Amino acid sequence: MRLLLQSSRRFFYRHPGQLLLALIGIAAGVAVVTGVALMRDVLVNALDLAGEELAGRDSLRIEHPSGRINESLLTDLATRPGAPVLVPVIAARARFDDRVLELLATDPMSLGGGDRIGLGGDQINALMRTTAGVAVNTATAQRLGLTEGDRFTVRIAGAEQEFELAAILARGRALDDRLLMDIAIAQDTLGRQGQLSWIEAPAGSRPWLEAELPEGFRIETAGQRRDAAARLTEGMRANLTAMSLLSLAVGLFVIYSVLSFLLVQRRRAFGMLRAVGVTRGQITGLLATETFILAGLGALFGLVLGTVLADQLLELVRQPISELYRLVPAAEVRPTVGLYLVIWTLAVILAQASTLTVWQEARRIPPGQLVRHQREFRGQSALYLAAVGLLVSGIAVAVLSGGLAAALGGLFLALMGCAVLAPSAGMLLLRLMRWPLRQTLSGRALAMLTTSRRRIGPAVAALSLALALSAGIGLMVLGFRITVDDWVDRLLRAEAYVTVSQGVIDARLTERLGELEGIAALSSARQHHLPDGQVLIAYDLPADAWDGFELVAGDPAMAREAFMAGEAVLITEPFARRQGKGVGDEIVIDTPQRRHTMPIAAVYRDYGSDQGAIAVDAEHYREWFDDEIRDSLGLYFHDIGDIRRWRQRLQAIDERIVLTTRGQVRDQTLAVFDRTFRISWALAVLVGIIALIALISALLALGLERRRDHATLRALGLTRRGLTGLVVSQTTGLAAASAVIAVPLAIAIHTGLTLVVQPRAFGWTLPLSLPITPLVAMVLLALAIGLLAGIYPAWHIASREPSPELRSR
Amino acid sequence: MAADPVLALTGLARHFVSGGETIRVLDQLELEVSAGERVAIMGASGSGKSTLLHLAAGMDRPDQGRVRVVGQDIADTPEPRRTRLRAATIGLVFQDFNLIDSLTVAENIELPLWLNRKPVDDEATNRLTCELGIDGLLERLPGELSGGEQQRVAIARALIHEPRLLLADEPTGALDQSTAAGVLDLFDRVTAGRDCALVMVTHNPDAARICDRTLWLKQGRLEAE
Repeated sequence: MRLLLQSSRRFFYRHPGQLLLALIGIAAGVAVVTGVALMRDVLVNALDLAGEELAGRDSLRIEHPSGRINESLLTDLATRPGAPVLVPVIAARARFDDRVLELLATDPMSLGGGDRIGLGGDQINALMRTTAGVAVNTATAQRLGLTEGDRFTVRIAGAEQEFELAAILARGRALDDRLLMDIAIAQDTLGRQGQLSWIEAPAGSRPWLEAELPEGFRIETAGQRRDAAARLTEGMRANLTAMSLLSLAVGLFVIYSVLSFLLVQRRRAFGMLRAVGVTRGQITGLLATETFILAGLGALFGLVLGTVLADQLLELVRQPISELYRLVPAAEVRPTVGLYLVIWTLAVILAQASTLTVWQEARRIPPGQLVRHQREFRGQSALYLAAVGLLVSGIAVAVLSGGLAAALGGLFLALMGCAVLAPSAGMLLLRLMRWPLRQTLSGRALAMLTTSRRRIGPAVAALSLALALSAGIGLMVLGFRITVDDWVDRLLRAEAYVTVSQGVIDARLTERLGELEGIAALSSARQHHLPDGQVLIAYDLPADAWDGFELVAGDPAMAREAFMAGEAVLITEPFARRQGKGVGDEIVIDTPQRRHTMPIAAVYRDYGSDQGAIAVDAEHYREWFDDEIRDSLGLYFHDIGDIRRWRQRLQAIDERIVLTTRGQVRDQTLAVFDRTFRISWALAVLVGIIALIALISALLALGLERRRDHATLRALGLTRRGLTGLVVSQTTGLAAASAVIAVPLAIAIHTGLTLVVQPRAFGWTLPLSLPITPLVAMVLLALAIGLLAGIYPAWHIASREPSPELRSR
Repeated sequence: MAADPVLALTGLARHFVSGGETIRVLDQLELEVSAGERVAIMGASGSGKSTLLHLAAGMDRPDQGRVRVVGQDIADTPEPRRTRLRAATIGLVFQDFNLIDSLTVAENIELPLWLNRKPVDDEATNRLTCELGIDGLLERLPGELSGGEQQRVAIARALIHEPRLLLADEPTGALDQSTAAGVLDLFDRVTAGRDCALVMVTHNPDAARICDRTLWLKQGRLEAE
């Protein structure tokens, strides 16, 4: 075995390009998986570490569904016998330039773990004495480019606030991207006098709290909060995981493609080894060892690359997570040895599995020098059967099963089936492309490819799969964007929207605005969190606003009548799917006075939240909950005129008023969408890079393997320019065939993601649209890559004189 | 007036550097081959026989001297013109056959016609392939043929475009004795009826018997036996 390994080592030493390509292929796939896995870990485990860091790992959190607690509760609880140490907290999201931060305001004196985060006496003094003073940890200060004493501006709830960096904490890693502030100063600064976001209590105080807390409050452990946060991000994580696993599959195809090619190059050598007595088992053992070393090394590189990638991917999702789920994830990933080991082992095992057919083929090489071989690959029909089986079963699992994991698994199976069929499809396409060109150089070039199924088949599969995945994701995102654009356009009926930078929109302000000359009508929305966690949205809707609801179930006229009469509710599509409710089912709403059992009159489309909501008529809501506050108002004008004048007029009534036009709201909504899907585009680009590696790997291997043929052609009279044209025709032909196969595959991926995965991950349905741009871009990019990837090898090949290659072996 | 030789090598020199040492493979070599003449070049292994052939074919450039093929000096000619001349006037047969694995027998044979932009003459092709006994193998791939069959295909490829000069580099080197004898007979027959010169580099003494003269390559020069 030592000698066999020695020969392998020398072979790879003499073919460094192929060795590098094999390593890069597996490293790229592993990097994407690692990056997404590390990021997922943050999205599950590190969404709320800041709270734990402040109050202790096993602390309990007292919250109210409304998200606000009156400070008097704290005073009341703290004075009762046996009261534990209670830590008040105000939390708010802040933006510093493009970065999302979390403001955590608390009583620094009551922090039991002050030393844990480096909050000593000096820092506490600095916080309490500095006007609008905040403390950050070292990493955050470096990231924001601040030093002690610097003044900086952040935006909180639409208004600008100036802070001073009063202290830098030496420890407290979980406080990355958090601004720590004294609570009294925060209440003044933010206009939240008398209000808290939540109260932290020690771990063992649950019995006391359950006995003393009034109704309506909930007590959550850190683990429960982690689970809740994980549920919020489940859809996003599932999508990202699916894309990363598919990237790994493409990476594995690259390694299979390279190893398969290497086997072709070494057939003769293996035949000779068998002739001198090396057994089949020893050949298999050699290949298994090579694959283990290649995959192991490649996976190691991939882990390193993936860790770097993870931080970049995390940056892409931090803002969307904050916007969609009101959570601020940790600023950096936290890799663990366990996670690395799992990914490395998975990659090595899968690489070994992906090269099983290569081992089988190697075992079939007869002893002695090969002179003749079978033209057709034996077992072709069995392979087709297996591929069709994978395809059909994959589609069946995806469509007929109910869960998200099953849908993704089914999609994966179906893609594997397509990948197995891809080589044959590629050869057929090359033959078809060759036919009109048969008398030309390009036709001859393609003819030389069509008889090399074994050599280029795996590369065609890898490239097609990667291109299809990349374009399929692009199709899904663009199609979704078109749908969201249409939805927002339909939803926004008012010409402008009013919110306030501080405080609330009370009944008095609403009335004053409604009475203004020029205002034809007002709409309003108010969000309310029920004790069971459901979200209620109370709407005041003028006649024009009703067309904004796009009903997916229920009679519009009947639903409107019942809604306005307070006799029924509407539910969003995600709510319907998550709760398994539909038209005619009932919803129970507990109000301070009594329980209301409300029938569902209709289900409407809502892409604004994947958690779902219940819509009720605002007039009846106000009766049930004695809540006159509005979160926002929609203004319908007789004649809008100059919106700046309206802004001035409204701010003269109340300087807190923020007036946003319909167009601005639409743009902001689409901006949130674009930010949310930046990561999908990033993954699509990464998969595209793997596609590029697959193509270059195939083209370089083809060039290396065809050296002698090229020399023969030069000897027979093909000029350098002619040989360049031949090589470029082959590379472009290969890329073109792969791109053509990728088109229907991409559409299939897009269809699967849109019609099956999206509803199960997020709860909403999407009409299937087909934006052409990603497909055209994919084909053009593949052709450009094929052209460029052929130029260097062609030049390299053609620049040599044929003589050295034609010497006898 | 004597016709120009088909091949004329004058003062040809070629050296290689190996391990810091300069090896003079060919040194002031002279050779003239007339139309229809058949010349065998023999010599020890590593004496430079293949180098000589490659220089004659314009696949390599000499360090000194001139190479004239059908009256045209190719040593200093730019690559495209040199290659086109080779395509039009020279047929090549190699020891390892050097057929294109991914083209069928028919496609391999037609390559020189295509390179010269000449149409395929089915009648002429049939005649040649029948003559060489490979007319039943036209749709096969080279990998499915025996050594003898491959070499016959290579000979067909070398002759299909009616070259003025046929260069054969150890054409029987990879064949067993019986097959080699058959191939040599073929060479004898197909070249006898054609007005092309043959220069054959060989170890095989039987190959020399089909040639008009035999030269020995010793210390970089050709000598008659």
